[in-house]
Amino acid sequence: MKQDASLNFDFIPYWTIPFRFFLTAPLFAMAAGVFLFIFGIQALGGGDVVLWQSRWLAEVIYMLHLITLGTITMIMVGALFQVTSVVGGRLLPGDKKVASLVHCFLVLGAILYLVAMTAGTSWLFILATFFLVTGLLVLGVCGLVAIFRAQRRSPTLTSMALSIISLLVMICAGGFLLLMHGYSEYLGFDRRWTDFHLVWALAGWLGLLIMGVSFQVIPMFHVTPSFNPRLQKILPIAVFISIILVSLSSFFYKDEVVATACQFILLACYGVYGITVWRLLNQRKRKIEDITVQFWRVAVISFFMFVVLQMLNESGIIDFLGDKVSLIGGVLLIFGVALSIIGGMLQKIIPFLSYLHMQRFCQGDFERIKALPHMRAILKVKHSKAFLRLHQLSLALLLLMVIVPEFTVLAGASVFVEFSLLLFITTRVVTMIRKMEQL
Amino acid sequence: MSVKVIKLDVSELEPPEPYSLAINILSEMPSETILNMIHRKEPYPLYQTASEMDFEHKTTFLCDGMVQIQFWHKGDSIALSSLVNSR
Repeated sequence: MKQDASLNFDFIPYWTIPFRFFLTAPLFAMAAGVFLFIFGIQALGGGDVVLWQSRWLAEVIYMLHLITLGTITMIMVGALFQVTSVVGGRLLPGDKKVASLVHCFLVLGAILYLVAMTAGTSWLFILATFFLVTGLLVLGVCGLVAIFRAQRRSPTLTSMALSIISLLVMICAGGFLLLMHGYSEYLGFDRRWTDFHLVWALAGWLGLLIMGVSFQVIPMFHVTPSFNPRLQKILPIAVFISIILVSLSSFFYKDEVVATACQFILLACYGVYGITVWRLLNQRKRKIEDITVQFWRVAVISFFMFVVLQMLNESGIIDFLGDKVSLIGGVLLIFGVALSIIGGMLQKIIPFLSYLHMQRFCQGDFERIKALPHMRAILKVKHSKAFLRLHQLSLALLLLMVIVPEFTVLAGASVFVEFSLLLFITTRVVTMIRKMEQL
Repeated sequence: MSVKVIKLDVSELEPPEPYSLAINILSEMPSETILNMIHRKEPYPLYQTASEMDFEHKTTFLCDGMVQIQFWHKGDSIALSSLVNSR
């Protein structure tokens, strides 16, 4: 019988490495909530403020990046440091130093991005580009080196490697877009790069990392059968090839049949993934109430709502919505799919990592290990439940907000409260680990 | 002399429950006893803790994809001589 060697706990990064990213991430989403609230108040007060008419408005672009860069990428980078070492049996080169640099550059880059977009000062765009591109390039190169040197090969590592390659493509296109924003009089502004950047970011960096990690964590945390081995091998590669096709066809043959066909091939790949996840979660051995499973379900439903939206859009039935279709699609993919999966995974990963590290502090002392808090005491079920309900409320209000902008105030308040709770949950756990380390 | 076997099936539990259950048993396990654990995966963190606490283990990969891990006190020749491969 082949030896099971899917995870290796000999190489786990120091606990502050992932947790510094997990702690910072909610702050950016809270800031996005505050901005939404302010926009909503301004719009309700009358004047010239018109919200959510186009995806090209500055406030839409920087709100989107507060969430995608400040929250989603921040959490995913933290998870990448953890998962690469556990799955690949190798720490990322540079370990703490690289983690500090990437964290620092990502935080500075995201803040400067916001300031540059609101102030419109050209040199700030250069500074934001420098910090974001450098930080994520360093992460990408270190991640690929760690995967290349890994002690074994697995579909998770393949998917993660393709995700990191997508990150590198995405960040180069993103950096170029930022410079075009700052210096449009010299560089012009070619909107085709936006869709190019978007597909590599969402389907590549985000989607492939989630897919790779889920191959490990769904069977592990939810006690389900494993993903089909052939599917694990083929799907990440099929997605990656589809992304290349979509990005090239949308760039060179925008609005033509070939571009639409490629988009639906990519959606079909993720559709297969979504159905597989749903089926596996239905095959859990213990059908106990599980908040993370509910987060996964919100994500899969949001994804299929996005697919339906795209079909309706192609058929011309919802032309009356204009550019709001893009905004609804964005909310579904980013808040409905990405943040649901990430939020759900955090409900498992945070208590598990905390227990793992606290157990190591005990250095084999049985009495101390026995006194460790239970998973449900580390992360209380009532907190996770409240987080899920708030997330569902935020998602509904954000969708409603695009159609009826008067709901912007409520959507902003809900996003702020949701991520304040996530910050509270993470801070509580970090305090617990710190206390245990000092004993 | 007969050896006591404690059976522990953690194949339907999510981490770290298998670890904490096994630690609770090992911490009070007398000599001439074997903890016979059934798991879906190899419990690497448990191996390390058990080794630090002077336990030895034997891992067997079963035909149904499960893993059987048997723990006993280091130097417990009676337990070692009667290792059973039962589930």
